[in-house]
Amino acid sequence: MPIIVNLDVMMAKRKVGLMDLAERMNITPANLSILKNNKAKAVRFSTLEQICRELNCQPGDILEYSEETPDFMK
Amino acid sequence: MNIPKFTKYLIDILLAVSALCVLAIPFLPKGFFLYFTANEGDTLTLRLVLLSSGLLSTAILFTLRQLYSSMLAGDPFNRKNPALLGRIGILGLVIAAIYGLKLIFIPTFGTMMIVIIFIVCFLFCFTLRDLFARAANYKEENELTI
Repeated sequence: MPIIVNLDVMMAKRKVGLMDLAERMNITPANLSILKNNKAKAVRFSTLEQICRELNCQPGDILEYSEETPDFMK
Repeated sequence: MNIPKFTKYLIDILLAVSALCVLAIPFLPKGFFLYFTANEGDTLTLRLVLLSSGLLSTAILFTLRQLYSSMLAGDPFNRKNPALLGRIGILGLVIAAIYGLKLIFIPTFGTMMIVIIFIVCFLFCFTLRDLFARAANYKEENELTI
């Protein structure tokens, strides 16, 4: 997928654990894990806002666009 | 009355009756077939048609049972159900083909109706298959939207 979620990087920088962040954001650890592992298909702006508030960062710190690797190069 | 459970029991009963009927076909007396053909000797063709369509109908009911069980379990829009619906459609089409072949050798109005009904069944199931596949996509997207 071209959009990469760097939530784990930001969480490590801020020294915040998954359970702790999920509790602060009032979402389940399972859902946060889906986001962290790049399995999510979409993110709500409200969720992005909560992440940025809790981790004191910008959306660009969490989301990154990377051109897809063509199949023949994989 | 719990309608979903009643429907499930009805499917179970029909499945059992269908299986019993299929098992009984080889043992049906010749007189039974006088309702379908004037030719007393021509029971082998009819037995084969009934046996093959009976087996396929039992398979349809078995697949329907799996489909309905997933609905009762609270997960109707999963990835498996479109495939099950496709299977029911194909089985219906094969039944239509069997009776279409029978129509050539033993033409009756009832047989023609069966062919038309099972072709409609095939079209209906394939439409539902595409619908359920789309619904499963939407459900997955919704579940994976954080």
